[in-house]
Amino acid sequence: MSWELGLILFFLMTALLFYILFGGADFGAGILELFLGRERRMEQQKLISHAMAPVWEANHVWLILALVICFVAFPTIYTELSTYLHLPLLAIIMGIVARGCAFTFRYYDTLTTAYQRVYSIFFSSSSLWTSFFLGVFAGAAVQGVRSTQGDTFYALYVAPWFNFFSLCTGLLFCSLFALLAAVYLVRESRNKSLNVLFVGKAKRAGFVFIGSGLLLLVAYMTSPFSLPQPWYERFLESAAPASTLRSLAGALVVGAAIIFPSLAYLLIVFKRETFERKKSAETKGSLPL
Amino acid sequence: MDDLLAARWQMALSLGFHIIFASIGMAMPFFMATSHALYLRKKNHDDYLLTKAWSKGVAIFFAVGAVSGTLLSFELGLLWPGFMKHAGPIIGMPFSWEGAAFFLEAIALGIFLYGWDRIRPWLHWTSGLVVGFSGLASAAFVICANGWMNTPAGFDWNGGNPINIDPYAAMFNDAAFLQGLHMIVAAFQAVGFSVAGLHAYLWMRTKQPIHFRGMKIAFVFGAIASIVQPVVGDFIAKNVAQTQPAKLAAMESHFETTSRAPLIIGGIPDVENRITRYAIELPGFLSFLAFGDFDAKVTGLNDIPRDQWPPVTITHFAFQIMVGIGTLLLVISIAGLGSLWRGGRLFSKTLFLKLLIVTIPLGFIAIEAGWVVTEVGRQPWIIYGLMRTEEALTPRPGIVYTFVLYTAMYTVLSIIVAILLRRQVQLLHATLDSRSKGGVS
Repeated sequence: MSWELGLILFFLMTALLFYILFGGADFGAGILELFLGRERRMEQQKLISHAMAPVWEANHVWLILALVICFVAFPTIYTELSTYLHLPLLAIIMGIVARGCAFTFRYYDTLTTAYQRVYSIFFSSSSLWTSFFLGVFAGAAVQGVRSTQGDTFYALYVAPWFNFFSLCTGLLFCSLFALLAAVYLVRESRNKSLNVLFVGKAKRAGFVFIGSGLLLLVAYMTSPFSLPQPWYERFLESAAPASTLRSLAGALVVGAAIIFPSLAYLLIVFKRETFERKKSAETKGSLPL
Repeated sequence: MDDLLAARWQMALSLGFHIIFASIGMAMPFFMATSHALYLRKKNHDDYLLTKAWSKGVAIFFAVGAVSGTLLSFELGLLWPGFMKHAGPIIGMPFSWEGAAFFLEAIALGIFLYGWDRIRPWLHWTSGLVVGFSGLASAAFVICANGWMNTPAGFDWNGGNPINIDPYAAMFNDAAFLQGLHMIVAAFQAVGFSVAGLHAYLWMRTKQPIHFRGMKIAFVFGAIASIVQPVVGDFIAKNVAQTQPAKLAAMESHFETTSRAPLIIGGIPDVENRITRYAIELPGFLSFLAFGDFDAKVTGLNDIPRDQWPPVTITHFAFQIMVGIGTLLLVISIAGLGSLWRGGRLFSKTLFLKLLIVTIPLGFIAIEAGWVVTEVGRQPWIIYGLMRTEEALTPRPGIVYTFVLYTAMYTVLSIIVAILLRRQVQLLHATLDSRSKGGVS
């Protein structure tokens, strides 16, 4: 494997990891909204909105980055996945559109509460929906879509993702995202009683996460496919020509040199309070810079 | 509707929807930066409210634009895997840089929208400017990729397989720069006139000075862009004449190769009989506009194989609409700017304000028409001269269903955004009312 390819794979994995850690937490916050309970509902919702708003767009660009790396460097993987997994992708797209709009509309359209309720319903249900299909997609992608039996519509376009393993990864993603969000929100909540509520949610999400992890293990052991050896084998097979990889690697390095400091600045501006509170619990108000 | 047509419609709809939001994302940050700078220097509270109101609009449009853009990056593969498989590695550079620019834009937008009391005022102002410049950069990069479809470069086509790929030669293809410039200027025209028209309407209704300020800022941007655009348009016409003769012939519905070719204005192309009826013809002007010489020979459709003709009627009409609107905006711009130079009396005339209201949708119609010229005019090719659109199409059946689904989704979204915008205006007026009653805004 050339160093360019190694670097590109590193960036692809980083983008996916960050999408799960940051974007996933956004999805998870939406999922948690389904389980807010009656107690202090509005307060919890407000906390979620305000914690997410400044970093919302940035959290979701990781997905675009991963997509771009995929179609530039591994075009056959990109085209095969988007052909044979188009149904879960369609579900993901619709979900992304619904929740992206609902979240922003809820934040800015503050005239009446009736509308707010509708936006919230859309936001939380599409968060669950999208997380699930992201997981299904990931599960199907890991299995590979080439091993299809027959050429009926079902065999080509449904069977690759509609199986026990993929449904288990869907469940795993939902619980992982909810867990991440709950853990972040424990840190974000400013008063004790809210804090306790989110600790409770984090515990419950954690249990579901462990449960679905075990289920996935069972699914893996009972399903016919095995993971490729070495794990990057398929990426090697479908890599773009060397000149493309070299330019992409260069662009990624320069891009990272611009993006990471900016991202760090964004997090410092909006999340410093969250992380400093441990030291001085009394800090309140705006940050002078 | 067959799968190819359904796929083309779905793509057209998605791009046509996205470009509206992308244009707003390109131009609005500069309007905001202007009113924001005015506020920071003169501390006029109206400028503050205007900047805030605009930034809320931008936040809504940006969110919709971001999701519709994410959708597009999936859709390229969902509809055109045959294209992406070959083109992905060649035109990856502009897409990668676009990703970086968009990332920066998203970060800067977060800082700008939510950083009002958190960072130093002028640093905050700069973050708004970064939103604008990275928006322009992402547009320019994406259009490099589109330019490559029109004027492919940076590879050798070895019997359907690209070899010797040079990604930067592909990125800086012949059409890239001019197409990008044309689009960026068009975004300032469309958004400038839309915003100016909207504020003209609100000014006539409420007589709140904030709307007069908003109208003037937006108008100046839109007017300057409208005066620059014909020059860019001339360059791009010459470029198309050189690189894509079939597109130029369809735009002009120019059926016969001739020297001293006439410029055909309006008219209805009769493709069967290869003539254009009811048109105004200016002899020699097409030769002059395309090659700078009244006697130059301009290739007509008769020299293009029949199975390589773009749809002539659509391309011709779209081109006429674009140029017609551009001309109208140019006239209004010269009149308005000239009047501003001498005190701006025109802006107190009801007729002129009403004219501005009429222009609200015009720039966007021209943008859509321009993209129809570029995209329909390139047919039947997806990579000009090399790959036909049907070769790129996905093998999966039933595209017409997803087309219907997308249409429904875009319709619902458009309605919601329109309602939301109206409520943002109500919110602004509520703030203004409470201020004039002595309340704190």
